[in-house]
Amino acid sequence: MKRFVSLAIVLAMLLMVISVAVADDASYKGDAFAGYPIQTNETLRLWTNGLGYHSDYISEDESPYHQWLEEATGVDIIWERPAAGANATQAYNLMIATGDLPDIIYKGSLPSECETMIDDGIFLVLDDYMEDYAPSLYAFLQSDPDTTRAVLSDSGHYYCFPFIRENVDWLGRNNGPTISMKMLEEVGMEKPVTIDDWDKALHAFVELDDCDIVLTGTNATRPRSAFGNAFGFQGNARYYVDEEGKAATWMNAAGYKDFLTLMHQWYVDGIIDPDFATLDLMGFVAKFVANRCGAAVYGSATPARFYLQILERDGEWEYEATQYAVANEGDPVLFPQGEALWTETGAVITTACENIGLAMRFLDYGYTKEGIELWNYGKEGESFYRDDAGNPHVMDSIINAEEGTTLALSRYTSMTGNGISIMSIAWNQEKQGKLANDMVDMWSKNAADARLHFWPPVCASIEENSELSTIESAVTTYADEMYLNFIIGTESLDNYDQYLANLENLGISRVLEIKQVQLDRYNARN
Amino acid sequence: MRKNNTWKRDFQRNKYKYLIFLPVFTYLIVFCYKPMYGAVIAFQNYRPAKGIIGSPWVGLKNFRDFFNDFYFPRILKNTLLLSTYSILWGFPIPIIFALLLNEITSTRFKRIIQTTSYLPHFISLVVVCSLIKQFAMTDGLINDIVELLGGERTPILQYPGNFRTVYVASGVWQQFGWNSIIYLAALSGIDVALYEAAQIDGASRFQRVLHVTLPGIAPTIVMLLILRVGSMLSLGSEKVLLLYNTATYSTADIIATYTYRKGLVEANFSYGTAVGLFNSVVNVIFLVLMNALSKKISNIGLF
Repeated sequence: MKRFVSLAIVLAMLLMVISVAVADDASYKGDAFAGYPIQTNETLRLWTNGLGYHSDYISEDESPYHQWLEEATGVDIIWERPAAGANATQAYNLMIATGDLPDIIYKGSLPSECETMIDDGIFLVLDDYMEDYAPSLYAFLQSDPDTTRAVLSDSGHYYCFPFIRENVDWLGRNNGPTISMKMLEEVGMEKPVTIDDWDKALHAFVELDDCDIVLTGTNATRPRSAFGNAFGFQGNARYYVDEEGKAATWMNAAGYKDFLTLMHQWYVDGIIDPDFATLDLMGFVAKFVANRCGAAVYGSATPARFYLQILERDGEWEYEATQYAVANEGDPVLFPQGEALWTETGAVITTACENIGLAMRFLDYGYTKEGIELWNYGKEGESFYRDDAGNPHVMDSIINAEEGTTLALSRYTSMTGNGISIMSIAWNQEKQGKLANDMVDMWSKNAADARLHFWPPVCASIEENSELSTIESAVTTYADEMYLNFIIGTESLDNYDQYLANLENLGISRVLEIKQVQLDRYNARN
Repeated sequence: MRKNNTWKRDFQRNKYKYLIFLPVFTYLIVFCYKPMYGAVIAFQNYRPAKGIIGSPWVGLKNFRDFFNDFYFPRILKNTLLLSTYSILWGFPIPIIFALLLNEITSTRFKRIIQTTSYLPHFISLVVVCSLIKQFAMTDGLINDIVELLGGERTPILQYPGNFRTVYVASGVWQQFGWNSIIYLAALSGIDVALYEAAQIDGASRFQRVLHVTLPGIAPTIVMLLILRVGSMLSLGSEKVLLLYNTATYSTADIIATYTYRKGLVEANFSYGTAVGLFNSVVNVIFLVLMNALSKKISNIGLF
């Protein structure tokens, strides 16, 4: 009896100690917010294939910016990623299928699935929580109705913390035509502005002895991307919004035939690189270094790959970006390469999240002033310094790092790709360097109205996706093939009407109809 | 009663062999047979969130979409042709190589050749395709040789007519050494006495190869050929994706690459499964036909 009593007392004491220890785990509720860092022991599971860490580190525990983020917000994050080398889309779909949802998912292409995911009960609808638990993001969105429209679902729900670029007109422009100033001097011409200028300049380049390749680019679609604007259509993206606000595509645009006629002429005259159909980025770099090119279409980040080699070869960097070619002098540039208001990337909270308040506070940090600084610049004293006016600047040691600016920066920020915050244009300009900044300036010239014509982040319903997936690939395969066939000459341009008829038979009208419906829904969002 | 006895005896005599086979058997059941029920999503409109039981049933819609696709005839033709040419060229060459290697007397020379022949197998596909693309450019290595021989420079990978040649030739170059290993192994299993007997009977070197060596490795050859034919439609997309471009779609676009591009609209599991199911069914038909054919001709078959 005595032994039994003493045992019972010991057990009771043990239970008391344990229950006190457990109760001490202060469960954070979003409304008890007292500023960052949040005082909590709770952790959040975050699944992503992005927000990567530098290859020197084995995990996020060693990565500076991941640690700074967790320190600054006060929340410990369990980072979950698909296995290295695994297909990220498959891993994501597998995760959804098995039902083991994390608290937060950070991914791209959100609009195409947001409606289905909300209906299926995977993404959490945030409408009721936005004002209370995500004040910074809410305030930002209230101040920018166009961006708000872009990040809502079609039914008008808030559902994500989006990755936004501060000035998408400038930051989204990263590709365009460049030309050799030296060769222009040699043929006595000015920088080309209209498509006729380009025609004359490039034909003149053909006559030059030391011009090995007149026009090339990082892949076969570059000529269409650079010169589509001059013929009144967007050549870089598959769909765009035309001047009447309707859904349109380059595949059957009004100016497409004239564009093809000119390109075919250029191909026959030896202006377009004969290998342009087979080029990819690495092939282009190899060609550019091995041959002296007259003009090329590439990205603002590409010169970094061969800048030093070209300096060695030629003794100087002779290339300058030009504005996108227009039909007539003084025309605005409506269809350059660029991005819509939202890159479709962001963080969503899943319905499996038990502490929504905490998750929202954590994600909202990226939209506070300190959060934007942390996500872009890192930590003061370790990756950036302040000047006398209090503005942050990236440390010179990082810009001049041996491994290259972008790689060095990837230790201290995720913004070399994207992040759960707003990308700062000042930071980006410091990171890119003068050469790239000048290029983007040129490509943005006269392009103020371009933002109205980019295909916006529309949502798609399952029926639309299912119908599109049946017709779209046949249409795009045919159009992609014929684009090259017309330019190279395998198909004669006399058969252009037959091409249009074939596109009709394959269902291009139906595709544009569906796209129009999606666009209308997007415009009706509020 | 007698049946029970033989099984019991067989098990008692060979129990350790069965034990070794057990893990492989489990692997087959768990990874190959059990997941087969998943093929049912080919007949549904599968949504991961709803699971297999909750997804709506659509019957043969996915298959009809696949067969009615405008490009179905072309991608089917390209897949079959590419597979057939790969087998036509890629199958005999390792055998011939193994036979030739077998005739070399100097073991050191033989080993050097053998090792260098299977080095290409270890080069990653991406690197090989990168090299091919570089060499095939107008100013690349292959065109240098063509010019030397008096021809004209052309962008090789831009012409649909060249695609199959480039694909098959590079495939043969990369794999013939590795594939010859199994034949060399089979060759070493042929009784030397047979060769001596043939020599005594007055057979020339070539006749010895024809009448002793080839029949000796015939079972191996037939087995590998049947297996190869049984994967004709499953031609993987990686190499084609790396080598093709929109100008060569007419000969290069195969089932796997077309479906890959189609799947970029949404993660269409059902459609992909339907295509995979179609591939498997056709492959099995080819396999069975090939097996029956070889049994008829030479009495050797896989099953």
